[in-house]
Amino acid sequence: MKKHFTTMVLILIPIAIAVNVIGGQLASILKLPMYLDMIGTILVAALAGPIPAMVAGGVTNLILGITSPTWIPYAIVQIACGAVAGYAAQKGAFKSFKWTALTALGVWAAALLTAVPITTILFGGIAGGGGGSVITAFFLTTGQGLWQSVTTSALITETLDKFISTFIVFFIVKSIPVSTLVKFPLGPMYAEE
Amino acid sequence: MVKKRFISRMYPLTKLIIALTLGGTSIIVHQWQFGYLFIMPLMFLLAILDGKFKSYFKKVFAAIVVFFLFIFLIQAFLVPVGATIWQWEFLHLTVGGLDKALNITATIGVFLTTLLLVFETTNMSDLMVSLQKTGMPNGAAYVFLASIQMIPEMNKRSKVIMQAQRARGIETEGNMWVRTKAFFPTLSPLIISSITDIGDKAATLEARAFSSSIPNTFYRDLHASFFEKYITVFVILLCTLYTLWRYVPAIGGLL
Repeated sequence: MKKHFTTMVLILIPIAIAVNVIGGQLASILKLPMYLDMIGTILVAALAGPIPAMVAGGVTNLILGITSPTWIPYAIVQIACGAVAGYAAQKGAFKSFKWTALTALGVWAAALLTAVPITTILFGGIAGGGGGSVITAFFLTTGQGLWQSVTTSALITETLDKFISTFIVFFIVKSIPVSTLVKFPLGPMYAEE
Repeated sequence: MVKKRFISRMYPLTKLIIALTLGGTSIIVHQWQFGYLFIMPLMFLLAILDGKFKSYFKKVFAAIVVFFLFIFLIQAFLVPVGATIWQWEFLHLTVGGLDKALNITATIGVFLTTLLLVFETTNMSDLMVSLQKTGMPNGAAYVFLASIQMIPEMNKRSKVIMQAQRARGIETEGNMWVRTKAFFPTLSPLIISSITDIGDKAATLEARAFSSSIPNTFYRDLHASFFEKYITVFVILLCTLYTLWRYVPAIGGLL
């Protein structure tokens, strides 16, 4: 455990959680049809690997849950995406553009596979956020089934979201000063070039 | 200082365990009466007794209204199951749909009302101290408490950055592409500046022996009373009995 959670990582996690929350708020202030609430999680994944990323993701939703508990089940989505991104980062995925794109694809798949069942089974089709629900209701009125409607609506809101989030992290890792970068577990990997 | 009432004075971990037990029970028993006729009124009553009703009710109301409306719209009207009770245009209210909507909202309602009451009446630091006493590592407590502090702090910083970028001429209104483009120049300086600060923060924490493995002492002193230790057991027992009654036909179960 100590190996994963150095003091640097323990301080990074709260910052990542705040980035998740603020990213989400900013997305809704700018009225973007995306959540963008996973940038912090993917950032931890890129700098410290899967386990800290899963912690950052899970705790984000627990903290959001203090004011609106409907966020809590979606912690699973964050944990799954953190795991995928973190595993990819360990293999060096955030070093190249091409592999970052593939990581984004993996994160996207993980998000869909976890978010759609939670929304459908637990909440009867309503996403905790709200934006997607209007789309879901629209597809339902056109006569599609519940699973189909939730999946289509998730495809619309998640796809661009996960690609943007992953690529923001790719560019941020590039712009962190090397002196700071090397203090993180996966940092030396990016400093080599 | 206002004197703390019953619920606010209760041991934090006791409250949390009871809340989660009730939530878990409502998932298992799958009966809307449990949520709507028992837990939700009970939580409101406890909030009134605790003198926190106004702020508590506001939070519950904000969390529930739109959400429940949507669930009813979708479950009761748009996913038809069984006989139709009432219809208007393309909306059909069916027996099965209504039942499902009631059940889902009841379960969510139980979680919402109990957890919100716990958080409304608990100081987060107290909760962390009580968790640390059961063996949670201090790193975990730090992550929780630091995040809660960090969010408003970074929020303020993001507003400053956004204003600076606006002053420079970035547009935050307009079509989606324009708004998406405004997102990056606001968030990335925030992230990068926060990350470069981490080194200083680490040095500060280490100067106070943050990663020392010697047992901690606490500024806050909390003890669970005899009553608080046993009420948890009592609630878990009651919930188990209720679940058994619901599912075991021999003692009057419904299935």
